[in-house]
Amino acid sequence: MSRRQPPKLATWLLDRLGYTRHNAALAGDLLEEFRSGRSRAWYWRQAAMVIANGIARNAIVQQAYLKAILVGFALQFVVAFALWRLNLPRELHIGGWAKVLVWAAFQLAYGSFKTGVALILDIDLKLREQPSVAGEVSIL
Amino acid sequence: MSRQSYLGEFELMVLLALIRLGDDAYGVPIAREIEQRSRREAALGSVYAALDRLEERGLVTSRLGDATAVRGGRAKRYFRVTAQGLRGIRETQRALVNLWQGLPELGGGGTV
Repeated sequence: MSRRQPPKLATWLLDRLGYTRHNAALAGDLLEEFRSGRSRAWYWRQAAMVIANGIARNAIVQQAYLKAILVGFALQFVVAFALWRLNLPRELHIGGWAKVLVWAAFQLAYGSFKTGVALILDIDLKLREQPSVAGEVSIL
Repeated sequence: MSRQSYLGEFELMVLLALIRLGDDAYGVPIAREIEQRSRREAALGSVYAALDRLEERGLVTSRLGDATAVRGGRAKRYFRVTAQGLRGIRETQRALVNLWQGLPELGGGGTV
């Protein structure tokens, strides 16, 4: 007898982003409810909530890491600013503050990108420690 | 009493649902119990997020059950309230009752 299959994309996202301490049990509960008659929209809504919770939770867990990046960025800024004040030729000082601001914005954007990548990689690493949601679905 | 021993509204609902369900308290029945009693939707993700927090604080414990085919081979995780959890519930109840008393417009009766 073929069983109802939940939306593959929702399951895929849940597998990668839906981190809780008991992710496998939660995925099993979602599947049990879906197969007892819940709609695909319900499954999507539940998966979205789990993912939102997972992202928020990971953001809290990663606070120390975010702080380290911000401190590193601030130090980088101070050192670069001091070097610029000491070494750059005089003619480049015109509009220097604008250049510093553009440079700071670029660094902030780059730092945010690095943080985002690090968070995603960290979530991935945590998921590898527990049974895969998609893997378990494919058992059937 | 420490600030940590107070419970949030949803955490309190989850703990009370665990007590009501006894040995059959895993994600699905917990969410259903809360939905039936409170008449509002309880997302499984929110239930597990609350259970995570409660477990970290030592207010609930959990154990793995059997895996079933309908669940894609995944085991159920059963939860139960610890003695510390029961104390937390009583302290929160006491605090709420004290706040209620003397508020007749909210059904809290007369003065204390």
